[in-house]
Amino acid sequence: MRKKKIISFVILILVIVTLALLLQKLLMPKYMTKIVEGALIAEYYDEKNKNHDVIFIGDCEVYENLSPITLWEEYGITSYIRGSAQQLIWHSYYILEDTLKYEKPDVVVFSVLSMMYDTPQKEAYNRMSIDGLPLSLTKMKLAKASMLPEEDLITYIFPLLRFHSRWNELSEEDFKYWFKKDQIAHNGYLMRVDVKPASSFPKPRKLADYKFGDICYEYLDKIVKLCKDNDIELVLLKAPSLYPHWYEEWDSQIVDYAEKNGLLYINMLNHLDEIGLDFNTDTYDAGLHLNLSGAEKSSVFLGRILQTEFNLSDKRQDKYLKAVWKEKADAYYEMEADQYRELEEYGYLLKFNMKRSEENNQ
Amino acid sequence: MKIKIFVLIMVVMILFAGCGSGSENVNPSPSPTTSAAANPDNNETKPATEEKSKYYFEYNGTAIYMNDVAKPVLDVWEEPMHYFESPSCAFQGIDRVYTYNGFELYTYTDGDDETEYIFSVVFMNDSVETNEGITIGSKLEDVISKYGDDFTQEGKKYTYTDSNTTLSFVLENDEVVEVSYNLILN
Repeated sequence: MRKKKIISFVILILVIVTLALLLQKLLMPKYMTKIVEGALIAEYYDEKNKNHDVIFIGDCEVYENLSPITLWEEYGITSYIRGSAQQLIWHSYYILEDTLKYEKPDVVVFSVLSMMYDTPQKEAYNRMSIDGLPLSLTKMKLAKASMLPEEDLITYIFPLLRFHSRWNELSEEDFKYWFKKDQIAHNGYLMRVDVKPASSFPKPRKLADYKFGDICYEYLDKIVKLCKDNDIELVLLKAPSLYPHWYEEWDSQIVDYAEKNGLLYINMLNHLDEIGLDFNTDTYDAGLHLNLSGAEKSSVFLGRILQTEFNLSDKRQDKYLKAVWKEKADAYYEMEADQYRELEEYGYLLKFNMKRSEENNQ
Repeated sequence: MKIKIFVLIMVVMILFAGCGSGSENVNPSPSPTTSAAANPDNNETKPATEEKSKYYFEYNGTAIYMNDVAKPVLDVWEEPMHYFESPSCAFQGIDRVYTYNGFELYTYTDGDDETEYIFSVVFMNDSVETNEGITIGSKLEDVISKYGDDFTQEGKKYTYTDSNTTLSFVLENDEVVEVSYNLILN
């Protein structure tokens, strides 16, 4: 009798846990339209071949401005961009720590723009950088380092506790992608082929203090150490986005830091002509981010440096990798063709203009 | 049976424990925006209070308060010399910068609501001045004589605060090089 009670109790617990997990999966944002950046972090864990020469970590300056497919096609370099929207330096550190559980790249490239933030900015950005990680001690440390005062650690362990109130906002998207999501990115690269030429920018604001925050240096030191301990070369990168303004005072701090730590620092803003960027055609939002043609040009430039500086071998003749990357390239060119088709038909990209699209359909 | 009911009650209690987290934003999925990328001195969250501040900018006879709806103000003025849009990282909201003779006016939109709200006015040269007569090129002593010494200092930046607005002066070599009105963001 007692044994029967225990069994029925265990079954009850299992049923409750399963239902809670299903409910959690339903209620969590899917990030399949509009704010697709939220899907980037989780997508890495579906990657079959987690063995890359180069891992990029950082914010939109990496996931919008560099194309791993180009790095493969031009140099035979395998790479993955572990980027997320407004990824702050503590996000980058723990995301790298988590990545190293799966693979040991030869080179890690860190986007230095996030050095400008020394405090957490917004819960929604935290969610997009943290929720996609599988539950682990790293994830908990990441959440703890990132949380705003009003956030609770428990909600990162059990996101249902934070998202349960979405029940009355559930849309068709939530049910459609309940169990399986579409692929949003190409090894972390978020493609956009539309064009919006850059014109003038607001005058750069004067800052109270140009020195990067102590916490940023603390995490940069941790990234350096993590790479050294794992025998990984670290590269500091400023991507060629024209806005927000990259102050000279910031640049010189990174130059000094790189020199002191024996790191390569590439400020792509100093090489715009060499890269061949034309901000009339190579940006989709007037200079904040590059579009596909801009990202491909940047990747050709960066790939050459990475290959020569770190002696990365050309793997294009590797039969297995050749097949893997052929499949990736096919998906990439298919998305490119789809986006051009949408541009021709609607004048804008549907996924990034859902509101306009809904209004037009009414 | 009692145990089962107890377990069910516990589960429901745990599920709803997050309700009392004290966060104002019930839905943590991305919606509102003020691009922190555009201004590293700003923290990106909802505005604090809506009480009118004693610090406001006046241009062509129009008073500009932080967090006011921008359209009535923009409609009254001439076309801006420049216009710049900065979509926030991953969000659908957009920060806009309107450049007029002597200053830039920053606005933000809040999620799917396309209404623009004013969140900053930044002087570009000495053709405009604060209501108290301070402009680019003024001395620190001028600032203190007009606004008093109830300021906070962060590096070269002197900030006066009232309700939802800060009025900041950045000084270099004892001269004001930037004047800005900013919406206080929590």
